[in-house]
Amino acid sequence: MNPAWENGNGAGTQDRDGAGQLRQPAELSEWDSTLRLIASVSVPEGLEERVHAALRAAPGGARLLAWPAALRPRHAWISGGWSRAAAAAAIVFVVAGGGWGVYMRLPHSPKAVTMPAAQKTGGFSSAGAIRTPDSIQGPVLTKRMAAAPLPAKPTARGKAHPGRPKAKKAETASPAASVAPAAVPVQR
Amino acid sequence: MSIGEAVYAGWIRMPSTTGRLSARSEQAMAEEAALSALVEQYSGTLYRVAYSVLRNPADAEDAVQEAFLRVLRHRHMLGEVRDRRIWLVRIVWNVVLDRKRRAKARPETDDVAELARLLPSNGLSAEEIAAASERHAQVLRCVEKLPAKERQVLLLSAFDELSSAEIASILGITESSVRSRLFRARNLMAEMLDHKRSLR
Repeated sequence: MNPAWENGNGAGTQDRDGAGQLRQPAELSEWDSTLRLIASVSVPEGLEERVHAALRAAPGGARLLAWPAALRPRHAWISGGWSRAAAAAAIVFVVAGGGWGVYMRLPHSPKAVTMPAAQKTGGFSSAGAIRTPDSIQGPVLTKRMAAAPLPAKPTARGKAHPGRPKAKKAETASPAASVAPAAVPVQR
Repeated sequence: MSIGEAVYAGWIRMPSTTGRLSARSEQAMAEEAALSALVEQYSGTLYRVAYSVLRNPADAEDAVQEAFLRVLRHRHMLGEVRDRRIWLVRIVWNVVLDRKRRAKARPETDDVAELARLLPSNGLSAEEIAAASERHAQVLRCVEKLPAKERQVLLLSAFDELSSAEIASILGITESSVRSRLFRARNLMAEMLDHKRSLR
């Protein structure tokens, strides 16, 4: 243990000998010698050289951009804060001017993008569609319905329209057949 | 190491201009020469401090290099440092604690063979060296079981070149705290070693 300051620490595990020096108990000297052994380990050879090599290989750290020596201004006040402030102001001016120029060249009229006008009458709107597709023509009758209506079947339950005679389903042709309906002969 | 030697070593850059050196480059050269002198003067102390915690030669050397790299990064502060030795020990102490924290998952390397290598071999038989190594390893295992604050004070107190005020400065505590922690550490060590002896 460090004798230079250990004597005044007031540790209760120590007692004084006749000369007034602190005496350590036997069990303390055991771990004390261990710690001293660790603390006095020999330094490996070439440590300084390896540290120097590590420092040499280390990057130089952050540095300010500097002018080349040939272009370096001679007067001290230029190389100080004035020149840096002027350079920063020039950079800001160029960036802001470029942005303003791009902004001014862009067309920014309010008609460029218009929202479709919403219908005030309700229902679905065309959502601004310019052209709507033609609707397909409906089915064409190929047979005429019978003249006499069929007798209604007696049913126990009442239907929604009990008095209406049930019409026979007419045969329908494909929509393609409806292109020339006059050419189809009507069967009687 | 002088400035000329440092230039030769390659990590001090001479300015490319042949004219008068600017004040800035002169200051940089002075800082790097001071750092070179610190390497020469205190690398051994830093290595021992690092070894007392890490107990591995390679890790201790890495810690010393990392500490000096930190100094290189903050070399502009060298002029403001009052006691460079304590400043350096504090840096390497922080590096070492950081490494120890990161390597906590790894098992402790209190290798008996490594301790036997440290022991002076003059006049001791192989059996005596083995017994002493085992005893030292047992003490170090007890040191590792101490609370962190007490353990740190105990480890630093083993260095002759560090006073209690300097240990307090390294650890960032008061001198009275150093003394009280050391007192607690001693008591705990005595208890643990007595307990081990009674188990034998």
